[in-house]
Amino acid sequence: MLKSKGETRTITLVEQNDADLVRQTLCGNTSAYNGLVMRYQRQVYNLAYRMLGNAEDAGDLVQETFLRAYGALASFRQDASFLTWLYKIASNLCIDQLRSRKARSALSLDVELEEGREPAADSRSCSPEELAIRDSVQEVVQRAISNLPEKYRVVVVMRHLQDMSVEEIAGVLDMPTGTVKTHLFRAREMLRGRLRSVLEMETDGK
Amino acid sequence: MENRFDHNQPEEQGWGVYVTPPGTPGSQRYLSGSLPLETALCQRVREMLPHLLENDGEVRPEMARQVYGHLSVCTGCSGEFDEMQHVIQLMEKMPPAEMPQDFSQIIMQRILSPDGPRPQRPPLRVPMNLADPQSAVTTVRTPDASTRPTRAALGQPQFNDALSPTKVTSSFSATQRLTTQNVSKSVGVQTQGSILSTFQRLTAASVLTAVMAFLMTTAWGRNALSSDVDALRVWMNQVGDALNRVPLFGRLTAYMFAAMTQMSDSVSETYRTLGATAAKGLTIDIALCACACFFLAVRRQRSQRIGI
Repeated sequence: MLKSKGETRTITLVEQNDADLVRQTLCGNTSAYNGLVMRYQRQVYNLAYRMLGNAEDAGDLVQETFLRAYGALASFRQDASFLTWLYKIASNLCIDQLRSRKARSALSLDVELEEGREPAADSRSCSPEELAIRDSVQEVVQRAISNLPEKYRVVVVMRHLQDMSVEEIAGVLDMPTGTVKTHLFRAREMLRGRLRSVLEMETDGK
Repeated sequence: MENRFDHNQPEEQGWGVYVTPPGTPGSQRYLSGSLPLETALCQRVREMLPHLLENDGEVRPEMARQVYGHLSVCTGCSGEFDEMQHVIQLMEKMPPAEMPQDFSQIIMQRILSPDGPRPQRPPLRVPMNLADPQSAVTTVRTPDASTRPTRAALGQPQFNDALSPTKVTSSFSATQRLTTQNVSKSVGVQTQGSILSTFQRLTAASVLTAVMAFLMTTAWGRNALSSDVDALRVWMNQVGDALNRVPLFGRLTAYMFAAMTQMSDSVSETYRTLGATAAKGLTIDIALCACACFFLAVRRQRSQRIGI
């Protein structure tokens, strides 16, 4: 659903296919690469935002993804789609960042506890606009997704928020489809447990 | 995914019985909202529910009918199924995240800035996959290339810096150039070009090492080579020199030959001073090292293919 929206927006802009644009970029035509960025930044941003949970990091990650992709463009093999390749880079970067964030927060928590301070609330997720929708259902869902372990989060985001097929996800993450499904089912089970309050609320509302 | 449910079983056991609710006391408990009674059947059905939702073909149509039959009578399972569906709906209702700004300008500025990324050519691909169109087509341009007219703008293919015309002299590279042109003309560039697959390359390397080791360590092998070991060494050096003039692949082979010459030197030296057992041990070490090297090379290639 998400993907089709993005596509209809961009198809009118550029009719050239990705392979052509990649080839032109490799020949030194940087505006061709701009076309690719315009075409796919929304999808990459959505993945990053859902994975990282805040707009600032997601924006940085979009930039980093496209810069890395540009640097490694020569090694892009056209047996996969360009978007799949971008997702591969973006998901790796996301997971790296989540891990370093975890390490960092463990470190800062230790320092704060040592200094006898109360650990500060996570200020990242509290920008004004996010505060406004804090208690909306979407926010609760996003928070539940953000609390999943990385390997489950990436699968569930790709499957249900990016509307990718299990086979596509398997290609992006270099995993067998069976593993993707196992992760997906476990992730959904975890979410079901965490979203029970929302589920009950909505059923009561009905 | 492992098939956790044997599809043949239900037909044999007659799934009709499973459609009936698992006992009245249980259904009473479901209605009161307490923990559902976990029967063996419920558990099996629940294992199938995610597959049913995913519609991935793991649950056959006739099986699906039976499961739906069970769901229509078992409030516990149907409640769980509804919840599962609801979770998915909740996620799919999430709107796409609104981008705070268009990143394309920032990205292009960063790319064009002097410390922006340079497109890297995939290293080692050219010598290892001679016929790989991807590596042949690889055209490395620095980002500032757009400021000066490029051959691409004139519709001509360009070459990797490693294959720049100054270096391309031999017939080998001329053929490569031909391939490059042909390939870049075709619109949908397909991959799968490598002469040898990874597996074939590994096998060839292992066999070669094994043959060398065998010749060096057995009396028969040394007899066969007899006093010509030195002649072989000289010949290898000569071939290596000749190959050295061929760019890329030739140079690589020359290194291999030089390494092999040195290897045979050290093995025969060990044999003379320490005897056959030590020589055998040494050759086995060398063989192991060679295998490890190739394994690493193959891994490296794989990670390059991913492009990170």
